[in-house]
Amino acid sequence: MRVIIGEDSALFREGLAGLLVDAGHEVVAKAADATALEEAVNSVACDIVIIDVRMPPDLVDDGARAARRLRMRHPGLGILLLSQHIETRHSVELVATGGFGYLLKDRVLDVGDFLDSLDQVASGGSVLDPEVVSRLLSASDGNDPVTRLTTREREVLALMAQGRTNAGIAKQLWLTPRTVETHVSNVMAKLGLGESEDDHRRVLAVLAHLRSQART
Amino acid sequence: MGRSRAAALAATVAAAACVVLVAFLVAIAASWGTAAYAAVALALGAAPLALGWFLVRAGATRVGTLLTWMGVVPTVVAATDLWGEVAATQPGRLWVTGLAVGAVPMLWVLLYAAPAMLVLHFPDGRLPGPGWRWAPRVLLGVVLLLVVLGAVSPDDYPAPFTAVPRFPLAFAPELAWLHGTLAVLCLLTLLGMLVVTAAALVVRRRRTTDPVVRAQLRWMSLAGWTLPLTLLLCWTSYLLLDGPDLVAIGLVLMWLALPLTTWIAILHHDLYDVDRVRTVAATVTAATSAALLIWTIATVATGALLGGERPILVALVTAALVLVALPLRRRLAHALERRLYARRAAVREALDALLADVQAGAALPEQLEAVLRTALGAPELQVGYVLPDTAGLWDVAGWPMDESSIGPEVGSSDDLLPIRVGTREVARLTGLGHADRAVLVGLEGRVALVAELARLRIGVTTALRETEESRRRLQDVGYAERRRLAQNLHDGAQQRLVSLGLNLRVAQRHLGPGDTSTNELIDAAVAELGTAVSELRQLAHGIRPACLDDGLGPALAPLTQSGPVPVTVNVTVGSVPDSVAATAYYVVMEAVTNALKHADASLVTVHVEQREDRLAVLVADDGRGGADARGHGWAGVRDRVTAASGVFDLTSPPKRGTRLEVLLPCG
Repeated sequence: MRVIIGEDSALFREGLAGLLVDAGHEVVAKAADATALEEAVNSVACDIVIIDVRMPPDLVDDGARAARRLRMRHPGLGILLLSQHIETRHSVELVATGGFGYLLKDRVLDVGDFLDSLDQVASGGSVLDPEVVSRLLSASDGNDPVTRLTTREREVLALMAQGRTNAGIAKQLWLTPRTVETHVSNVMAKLGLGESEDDHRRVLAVLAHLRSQART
Repeated sequence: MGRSRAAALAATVAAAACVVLVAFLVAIAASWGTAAYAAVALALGAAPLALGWFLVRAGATRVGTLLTWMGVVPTVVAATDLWGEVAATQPGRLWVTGLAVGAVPMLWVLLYAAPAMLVLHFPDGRLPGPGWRWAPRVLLGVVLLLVVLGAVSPDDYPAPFTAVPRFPLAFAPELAWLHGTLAVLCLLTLLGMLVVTAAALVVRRRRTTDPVVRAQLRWMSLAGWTLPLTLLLCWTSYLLLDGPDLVAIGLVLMWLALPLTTWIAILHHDLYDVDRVRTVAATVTAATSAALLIWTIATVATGALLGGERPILVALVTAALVLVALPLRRRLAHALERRLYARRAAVREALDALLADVQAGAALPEQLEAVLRTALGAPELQVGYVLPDTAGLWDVAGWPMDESSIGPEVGSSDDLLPIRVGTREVARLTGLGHADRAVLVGLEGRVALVAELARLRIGVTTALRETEESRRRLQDVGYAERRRLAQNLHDGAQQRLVSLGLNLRVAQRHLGPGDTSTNELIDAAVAELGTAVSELRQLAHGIRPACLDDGLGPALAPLTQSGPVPVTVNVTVGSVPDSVAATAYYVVMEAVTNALKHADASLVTVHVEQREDRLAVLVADDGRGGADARGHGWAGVRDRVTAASGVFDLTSPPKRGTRLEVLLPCG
């Protein structure tokens, strides 16, 4: 895969590039601020862009804003955002648009998962950091149907929101795929969401639900 | 030259002629007695003459002219008196006629008529009204009549003029009764006219609203009443002492006081506060009269009880009674002030009342400004306080006063008054209206007492406020510093650790399949790195939680899913400063933790709302209560709240739940 990295810390940028190259990917460009990043993406072809949310010049959320602009210009491009903090402000909105991933920076230390997420986002899926998902889940109030889920169903819901496939969920929870499917249908039914074959649309539906609950 | 000036000049010439005559007569008489009498008379004439010319030159020509003519009278009277005396002691030296012998003794009337004319035409040189034209005519008529009656008196001429041939037109002795009646009538009319002239002042005052004229009339009223009173004194003296000796006092007083008050009233009516002068004069007069009365009663009483004269005893008794009555003097002065100078009396009483209330704890010294405004009727009045060790003036709330409207203290203008304790200025009154300054003269001592108290209190308030502000600044700076520190730590160190982990992972991938121990080592190392990163994140969170980026509401929302006990969270805030939001966040977190751990509650409610310039944080539970606000468990919350200059209030009655209310300023 052809990857472009946008990250202002040289140490982290080089480390990440090193990991990706070692895993067989091609790092075609590296940028240290939002402007350079957009230029690079617009001039060089790539499959996925890894962006730090916090970048110069404003050092607030330049990365996130750049991501939105890039998305509008390159609809098919995969974008993975890396953040230092758990926050739901940028994450949920962006992830809901598909082909977006949002991970905490230290998530890259789980190398296997990180590379899987990369593939998923590059192929149009969505990935949401488990910490963020758990924050979302806990932010809902007493009226939320989420409280009616069993513990197992909540775990399945969390993994769904993270963007994992049924197979991925089965592997994570040490269940059979059939059990996972049953749980998934229960969850979707209890939340009042329609069944969907498409993993991505499933994630979107769950995320939309969680988002609306988090807002109230 | 104007008519008035010409008249004044004529008066001066006449006076000069008389002075020459008097000098001549004194030279002839060659005795100290006549010289002394002449000196007194000339002095009494010189004052009105000189002052009259002052006024004429200053522009008050009519009154000035009247005053100069008044100055002629003592010289004429002195001349005629001395003529008679010389004629009596050195017969044959001077020319004498019966007419003169009869008429001259009546010339004393002029001593009353001249001042009366002046008072009648005061202060503008005109009569009080068109209906008053009869007054000067009657006055002059009476004078003329009395002189004529003197000339035509049927009595024999007194020694040593018994040999002088009688005036041909003198009354026959059979008509002595008619003469006497006429004389008495004229004298009574004279007294009446003198009362009328004094009353003219009252009439004028009733009719005018011009404050300058009113002040002038008040000045004249000090002296105007001496006219009829002196005449009465003369007759009383005749009654008591068989001679006109007492009248000398009255005449001298009258002849000194009238020109002087005229001059002051016309030219310098605002040089002294006439009301204060009147009050003082009235007090002195009343006190002296009272002392005299006591002496008279003592004399009569000792005379009646003990028989004969005992002057020493009388003096002792009088002295004793006066001493006893001395405290009444102050009461008397205040009562007179209330009558004559009501405004000042009101201010004095208001200040005394305020002082008494302040000492009793019923009023605050800061009410000084309001009290002065009401008592003086000066809504623009402001009290500016001088605080120790600071320049400028401060108002009652402890803020600096706008100095541009205040003039310099030295050479003060009419509308400001410095208040001093000793030589230190403690306050300044500004915005004084016309004549307010005069009212306050003499009362500054009372004002100073209250002002001193007030300014020290204000000093304390200001110092406290400054302390609060600097503490808030320090706290804000501290928070910004900590935040920056956390940010640097977090960003810098975390980046390094994650990068380190990445490098380790890359290295790990190059291990051979048999290197399981190294593999495990690296796994452990990366796990430690993960922990370190997580701890760094918590550290930064402890200083400023990252979740606050989404707002206080979303940051606190996860509390509702804290566990078996339901927690309701209700947050309605606009935009609050970051440090305040962080404090509120930690307060809520700790309070909820305490509730869940210790309270045994079935419901915990969190309520955060913004009220004007404060953020109100309420955490309540329905558990077993009995929490100790000063205990360890709440120390952290208390410290945070105090550091944020907030208010900490914990109510926790046993078995009735716990309620924490925290107010944080966020202005």
